Amino acid sequence: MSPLDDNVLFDRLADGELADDERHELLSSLDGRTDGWRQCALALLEAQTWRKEFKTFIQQEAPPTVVQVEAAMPSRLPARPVRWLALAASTLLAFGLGWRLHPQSEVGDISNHIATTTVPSVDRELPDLELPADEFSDTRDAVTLVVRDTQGRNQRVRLPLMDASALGDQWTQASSAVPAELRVGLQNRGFDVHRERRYAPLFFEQDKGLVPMVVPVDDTYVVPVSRPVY
Amino acid sequence: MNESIDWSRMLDEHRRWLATVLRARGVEVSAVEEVLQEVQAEALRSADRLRDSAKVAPWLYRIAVTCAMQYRRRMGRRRRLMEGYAAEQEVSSSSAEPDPLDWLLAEEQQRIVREALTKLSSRDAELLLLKYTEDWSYRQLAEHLGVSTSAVEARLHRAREKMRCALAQLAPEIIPQ
Repeated sequence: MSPLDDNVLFDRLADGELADDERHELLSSLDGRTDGWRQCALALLEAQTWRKEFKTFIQQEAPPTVVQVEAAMPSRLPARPVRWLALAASTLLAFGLGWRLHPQSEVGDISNHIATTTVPSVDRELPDLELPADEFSDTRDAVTLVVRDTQGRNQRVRLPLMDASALGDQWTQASSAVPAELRVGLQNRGFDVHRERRYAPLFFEQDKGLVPMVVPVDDTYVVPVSRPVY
Repeated sequence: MNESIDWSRMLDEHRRWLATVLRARGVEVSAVEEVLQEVQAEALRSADRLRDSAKVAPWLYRIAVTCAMQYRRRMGRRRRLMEGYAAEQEVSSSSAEPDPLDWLLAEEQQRIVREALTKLSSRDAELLLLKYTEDWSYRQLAEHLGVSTSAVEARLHRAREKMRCALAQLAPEIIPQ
């Protein structure tokens, strides 16, 4: 039987539309199929989830336009469910930190959000500046900033994310962007909130030198508490 | 006017699923009541055209689809988004201390499902919404929409496949394509 037929059969099973003999035949065949019971469970769970979410949908208004965060996810996140939570939390934190990262199509509308500072050319070499070059070149994660240059053109600058240890303390003193209630609520339910803060370095041109500043980007992990038992 | 039909009772009976049709066709929650009133008014106005009183449901369905279309024309896309955002904020702020983990998971899941639904045609979204919110059988869906049972089954199958594709595109980490 083709996967397409299987899908239809399992959908009809979840819908309660199979005749008694069809249902009996399908259920009897599950042991002999690869992933038979799994497919069956997924069809039922999908129906259950859609039922719940669709009911919510018809009772709620449409969401606001989604702002896409154009930041790469860290490559060393643990298992999939936690990775998913981390994505959600990371996005929330990006909002909390006042980031404004726009999808490509919105580049034309950024004029209201850009400070009127002189922006260094991205191609310029950085003289006499003590930068942790190793971490710079080694990182795989980055965020993209869109800035307007003196000619009024929008420029994209890709900034690597750096570990806090690669920067001085003066750049890294900041309070957590996780709302206190959310943190306490999670902890009360047996979850720890781990934060990993990294920094996107920027440089302002001043006289003949470059003045560094950093933008903090937090990744937050919601993980089950795992404490040693003695 | 078709005298044999108790219109008040009939409209009450069909109110809920017609509201779902309106939602699927882009009418906001806050405007559903208003558009339902229009459906009711139009039904009463054109009751003479209903030839077969056994087919009230598909007849009301067509009126609802027309009213939803007229409503959407009246409203600009921008205004709808702004109203939606304002209402969403009210809903979020009024909820009482949800479980934070549930909240994170539910928010994300709802966002993905809502976005996936918006990627479907209104006919597909409507069929899925009616199927899962009313828990109707294929036969009941066919009766209400005025189509055959086999057409419902085929359309439902296509709509589900599109929904799954949309979900997989929106959340490839969770739903592998």
